[in-house]
Formats: sequence, structure tokens, C-alpha cells
Amino acid sequence: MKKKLLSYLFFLFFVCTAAKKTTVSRIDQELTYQQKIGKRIYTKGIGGTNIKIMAEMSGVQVPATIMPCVNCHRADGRGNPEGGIVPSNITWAELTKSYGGERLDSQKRPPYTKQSLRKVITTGIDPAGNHLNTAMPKYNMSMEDINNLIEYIKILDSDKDAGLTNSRIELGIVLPEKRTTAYNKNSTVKKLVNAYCMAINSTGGIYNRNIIPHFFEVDELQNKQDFFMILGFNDKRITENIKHKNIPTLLSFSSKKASKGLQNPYTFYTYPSLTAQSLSLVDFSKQKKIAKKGTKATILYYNDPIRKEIAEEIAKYYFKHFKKHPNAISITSENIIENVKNAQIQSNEPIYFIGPSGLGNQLLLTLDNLNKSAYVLIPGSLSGIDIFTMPETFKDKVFIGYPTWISEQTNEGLQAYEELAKNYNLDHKWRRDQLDMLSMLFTTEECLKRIGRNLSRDKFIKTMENFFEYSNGISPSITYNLNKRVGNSNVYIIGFDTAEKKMELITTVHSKEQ
Amino acid sequence: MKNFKISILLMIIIVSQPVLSQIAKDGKKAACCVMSDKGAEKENCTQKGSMSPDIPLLNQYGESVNFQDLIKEKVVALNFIFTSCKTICPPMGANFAQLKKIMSKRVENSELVMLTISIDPTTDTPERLLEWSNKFEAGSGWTLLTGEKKNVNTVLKELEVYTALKEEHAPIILLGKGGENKWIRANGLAEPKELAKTLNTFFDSPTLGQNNIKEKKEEAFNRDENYFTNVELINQHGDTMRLYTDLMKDKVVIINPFFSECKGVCPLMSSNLEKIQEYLGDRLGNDVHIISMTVDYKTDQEEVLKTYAEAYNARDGWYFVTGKKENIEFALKKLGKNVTTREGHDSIFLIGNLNTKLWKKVNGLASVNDIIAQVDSVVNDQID
Repeated sequence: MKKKLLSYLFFLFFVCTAAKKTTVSRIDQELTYQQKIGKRIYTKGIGGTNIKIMAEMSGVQVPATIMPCVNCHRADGRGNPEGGIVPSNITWAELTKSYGGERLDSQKRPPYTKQSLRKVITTGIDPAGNHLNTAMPKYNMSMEDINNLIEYIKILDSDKDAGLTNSRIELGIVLPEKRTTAYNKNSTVKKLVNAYCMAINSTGGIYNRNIIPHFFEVDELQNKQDFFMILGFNDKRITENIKHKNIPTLLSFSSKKASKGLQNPYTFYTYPSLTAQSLSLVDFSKQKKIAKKGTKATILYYNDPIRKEIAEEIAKYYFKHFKKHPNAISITSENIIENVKNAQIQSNEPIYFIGPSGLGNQLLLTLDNLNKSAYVLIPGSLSGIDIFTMPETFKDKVFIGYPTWISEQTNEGLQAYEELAKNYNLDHKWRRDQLDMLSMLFTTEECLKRIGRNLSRDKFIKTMENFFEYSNGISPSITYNLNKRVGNSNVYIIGFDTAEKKMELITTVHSKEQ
Repeated sequence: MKNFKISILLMIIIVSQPVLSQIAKDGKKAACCVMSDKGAEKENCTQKGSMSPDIPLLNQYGESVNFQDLIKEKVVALNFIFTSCKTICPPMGANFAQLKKIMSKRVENSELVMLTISIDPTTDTPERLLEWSNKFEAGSGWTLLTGEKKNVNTVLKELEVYTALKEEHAPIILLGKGGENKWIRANGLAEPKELAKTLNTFFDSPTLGQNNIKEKKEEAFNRDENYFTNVELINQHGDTMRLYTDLMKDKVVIINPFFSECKGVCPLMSSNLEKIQEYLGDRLGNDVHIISMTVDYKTDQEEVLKTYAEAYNARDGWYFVTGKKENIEFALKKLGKNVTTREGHDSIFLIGNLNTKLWKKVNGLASVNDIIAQVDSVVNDQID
């Protein structure tokens, strides 16, 4: 008896594992050439032959690119009802049920075959002879393409986006280029990401899928396609490298003005772009009455491509507001003293400092020696100053703009980091970068949890677009929508509190990308 | 017999309309009763004010435009989309582009305005609308509109196409003439050929221009005349009166059926009318006509009517009318008052304002003050 039961259990176990294996392997399968073309027809309306696919509807012929299948039937084939039109479920199982199907108007039809499916797609007449709803276009395409399409419809239900299987979500992490980064910054970030993934996977992952990180530099991105999504810091060359690959991407900020959802629907930024952060300092100058119409101003910048462009943007923006062209001077560590001397800076004029952080205090010292106590405004993401060792005269004249501030962090958020740090022995350096990356990981986690098991890139984008004032305890609360791709637009202006001898949040400025 | 009566009533109620459409809105002229010029708005008794004059919107190039200016004195095709809509908006866009192609001459002559309004103005920036419309390669002459949510919603509500959830919007296209605020609602997924046919009914003849629009307007006013006709009737003084031109044109009319030998409801109706006559004073004859139509033309000839009228002290402006068999029967039929036996007539007053097209049915046996209140409301063009 016991033996029988045991063998039965063993049998059950075997059947279960076998069944599991078959589904997994089926899903993990690469698409065949036919299916790949079919998928392109389904999602984009572009076929594999010279014959352009056309959609005909109420006597009008338009390219199928305007109305590809996916628009109405959705990526999963289950349909997207809208305006009283309910597109049919066109998964293969549904189409070929042996007892046929029933339409919304209760008309019945026999199961579809390959032949009748070809007929219904091209003529709009189902196997029972019923005409489909007029909202379903008739598609004109080559025999080869329609066969490709049907091959894809057969596996539509189980087709998943790249980098996504029943058990894994492959995450691409773009690290800053080694040559421009301090040597241990990348390994610190890498450690954090690994720690986070291990922690979440050890508790079952997200809806039974493990998060698997892959690290690489931006140059290697071209050849990588197998990630479900990508996380990174600065968008420097990331967006251009993954353009047209339709991979959801979360980044800290853009260097140039951030694109709107229309130009690049796949990228989401946490913070305002470097340009917008810098321009906020001009807005602040106005608010604080540091500058008014006709006030002379100086821009000191380090001549690298990003800083130079930002200096130009500031000059333009300054002129727009105050009708005065600022004096833009490029500086290096060699010529800073001389250039500042020759710049004819007046006391109380605003100086926008877009140089390397190392030169900040030297600038203040030089100004102090010249007895020019000007206002110094600094975008914190591009340059900086050691506010604690600066000359007395500048104590209430230096302002730094940051894209976030400690007031936006919650105990829970920080605790989550500290726990990771403790459990996985994380480095304590590069805290800002670690927190930025952790913030993006938390946002990703939240988005994946909101979607559930039935995951796709398309749903990821749509769900991100519905984030409203979501706060992960590390970054300021973020909001995205169809147009908005910068989660939080605030720039936090920081000054020095002389009484308390500490940095102090003066105000926040709403930055503008456009 | 009864069936016959019903079918006649139905005939009056139903005036043929393009297959795909129904009247969406009749603006100020929205009528309540079966006998408006259109004759079709039986079910919808709400009166709509004319559209707000100034509603600033943005076109797809980011320019500020005024909705009323865009449609003023133009024939208009108007549909509604949002750019992130996947299922029905692309086909509607393609249809619209095709409609524009069919109507290209009219569009080039600026006689026809093709408009698309975004129902998701918070998302749909001008930039988005431009990109969306470019997909259909429609070229110039198609204006896409967005703007402040509040303004766009005002327009949508006034056009009766507003939905709180954008996903629930129906594929509607409105066809009409700017300024008249009278729209035909059509299915936006219908064949553009059919839509073009309906659009063409707003134009008169191949020769086009401003004059034509004016003429068309006048003609529209004469639709009452077309319906009621100038069939000749005879009043109690023996004068010939044409039903529309002499009895109804530009007047508020109170119409009731009666016959002189009627001993039941007719004396009650007539004495009510006598009191209304008193109330109306000088307005009777000038602004208001009371028309008592006999349902027994055989008995009620001129002389009988005269005696009957005198019994109720009828003054000028209160007409008791009879006529040739075919004439009086035709007139009764047009008013839904024809009967097979004289006793079969009703006791309902039809009170209509020929200028504003507002019509009401009032119980002729109600207390006279209530009836007077209704008469006043029709004179003042008030629904309630």
C-alpha cells in the first residue's frame, strides 16, 4: 500500500515537473523567421515582402502601419475595448476551439482553420459566412505575409518580450564609462544592484520572477537586446543607442533638455535634466532679486561639451529674462585666477559657476582676494563647492541647486538602504549614486508589482505613465504621464545657515524642460 | 380605424432622415412637440441655448483660435479623438482624411471646414495632434483642436459629445452648418462616401457663395410652410384663409378641434378660449391667433360658425375654420387632429410659436389659469 502511494506520488511529481518543463521550454524558444515577420506585421503592419500591406475600411485604403493588429487586439491578443467596439480575442486557442465561437451579437461560427483565418483577415467574412463588425479592417497582403502572420498568431499567447520569461526578468544596468569615473564607483553601484536583486529574489522575486541584473558600459549597449528593461544614470548616449529598440529605460537625468513622451516614449527620468537644473538658478536669481532687468552677470564654465552647452543655454535664458548678455568665460585650473581677475566682475552680480567641483573654492578665494563679493550660483549635479571652508564674505551669497534634498527622504527609505548595506556589506562611498540607483530599482519594483504576472514592455510603459506622486522614500515623489517624462521637476536651492553652521534648504524652484 | 389614426400620427412624427443619422441638437429651435419644422424631436424636450460665443482653443500649430470663428457660416465636419487612442481613433482619422479628399473642392473653396477636437486636452498638445494627423497624409484644410481642458470640455458639452472617461467616447462625427448649431450625428466609421452625401445636403447647388448660404437660411425658415402648406380654409366671416401664411406665419397659435353640435367638451374648451381671449387683449390678432378647427365640415358651414363664434364673443384673431372636405381634412391631418367620426376628436390645445418653433400640447379642459401660463411660456419660448 505504502509503496503504491509512494510510486503514485513519484509519478505525480514526475508529471508535474515534466509539464512545467515543456511550458518553460516552449516560452523560452526563439521565434522562427516566419514568426518574427508575423510579429512585425502584427505589431507594426510591416510585412516581409515587397507588397505593402494595406488596411481597407469602409471603402478607405490606408497603410496597415496606421492600423496594425496590435492597436485593437493588444499585444496579448485579448482585445482592447473602446468606444463601444469590442475587438475579438484572437489567441489561437480561442480561434480554434473545437466547438467554435460566439460573437457579441450571438451569431455562432465554427472553429477557424488556417484557410478560414486567411479568408476572414482579407475579406472580413468568418467561416459561418457572417460579416465581421465594420470596425475590423480588411487586410490586403501577400500570401507569404498572411501565412507569416498566422504563424505568429499561433504563438501569440505565449510570446513574450525579450528578456522576459516565466521565471526571469533580465535587467540591463548601464554603468558610467570607466575612463570618466572614479575607479571604485562602478563596483560600488554593482554591489548595490546585486545586493538588491539577491534580497528580492530570496523572497520569491516579483510574481515568481527573479530579477537578473547584467552590467555593461554604454558602448556595449548596441549589441545587447535581451533585456526587458534598462536602468542607468546619465542618459549620455544611452538613448541614442537604444532608440528603436523599444526597451523601457529608467534614468536619473538627461544632460540636454529631457524629451517629452512623444519623442521618446520609452525613457523615464527621475530628475530634471542638467540643463533644466542649471536654468532654474536663473529663475532663482529673479526670485531672490539677485538679478533684474539689465543686471550684469558672468558665466564661468569648464570647456567640455556638456558644460559648454549648458553655459550657452544659461546665457540665452538670462538674456531672455534680463535683457543683458552675460559675460561667458571658460576656465581651467591653470587660468582661473587670471581669467577671473580679467573678467571685471562687480560686487553683487550673479556668477553662474559651471566648472569642476575642485575649482569652486579656488574661485571664491580669488574673488575674495579681489574684494568682489558676488553671488555664486552653482548647479550641484555639475560642479560644487565645499561650503564649510569657504570665505566668510560668501556665507550668504553662495547657492547650490540640487535635484533632490534630504528632506525628501523618509526613514523607511533610508532604512531599506541601511539594511541592504549591512546585510550585503556595501561600500559607504558614492552614497548619492547608490541612492539614485536604489530609487530607480524601487520604482521598477513598484511598477512591476502594479502590473502583476501578466507583464509586457507595453504594460510597463503604460503603468509608468500612471505614476502619480509616487514616493519611494529616497527620491522626491515622481509623477509621469503621456507627455511628462521627468518624474520630479523641483530643483532644491541650498544655502549656508551661518547660525547653525550647516547647509540649509532656501527654496525650491520648479524647473522647465522646454 | 384606430390603426389608421396611429399610422397617420406616426407619419407626422417621423420625417425621413438620412439613414445613419439623427438630429443631435436643434439649438434654440429645439422643439418639443410633434409639429416642429423638423417634426422629429418628439422625445427630446430640453431646450439648448446657443453656443457660448468665445471659446479660445489651440490648433495643431499652437495658434490660438476661436471655435465659433472657425465654423461661422461654413459647412462643418467635426470629429473627436485622442492621440493615445488605439482602437477607434486611427480608423476615424483615416475616414476623415478620405472624406476630406472626396470633398476637396469644398475644402479648397473654404466652404467646408474639417475639424477634429481632442477629448484628452491635458495630454494632447498641439505637437501631438500635428504628429497624429500627419500619419494620414491629409495635408492642409484640416484643423485639429486642443486647449485648456475647461474650454475643450465646454465645447464638447455643448456639442453633447462629452464623456467623463475618454475611453468611453463613441465614434461620432457631427455634420452641420456653423452658427445654426444644428448637427447631424453620424457614425464616424461609416463610409466616407455616405458621409459626403450627407454633407452635400448642406450645400445647395454647384454654384456656391455667400448668397447661397443666405438663401438656404430663408428656405429653412419656410420649412414650416412646406409642411403645413397654404391649403385654403374658410373662417366664420366667410373669408378664405391660407393655413400657413394667413393663420400661422409669425404668430403664436392656439389650435383646438371642435364641432358646433358637440355638447360635451367643446363648450368647455370654447369658454376656456373665451377667457384666454380676454387675457390676451390686444395681442389677439396681432401676435396670437386662436384657431378652432371643425371636425364636422358638413354641419359647420360659415353661417353656423358665425353664430357659434358670436356665442363666445370671438373677436378678430379667433378664427373658427372650415373648408372644402379635402382641405379641412388635410389641415386636420397635418395637425394630427383628423378623425373618422366627429365625436372622436380630442380636447387638446396645440400651442405653437412659429418664430421659435416651440410647441406644446395642453389639456383644453384644464383650469384656465394653467392654460394661460402655458400660453405665456410658449409666447416667451420657455420650456418649463
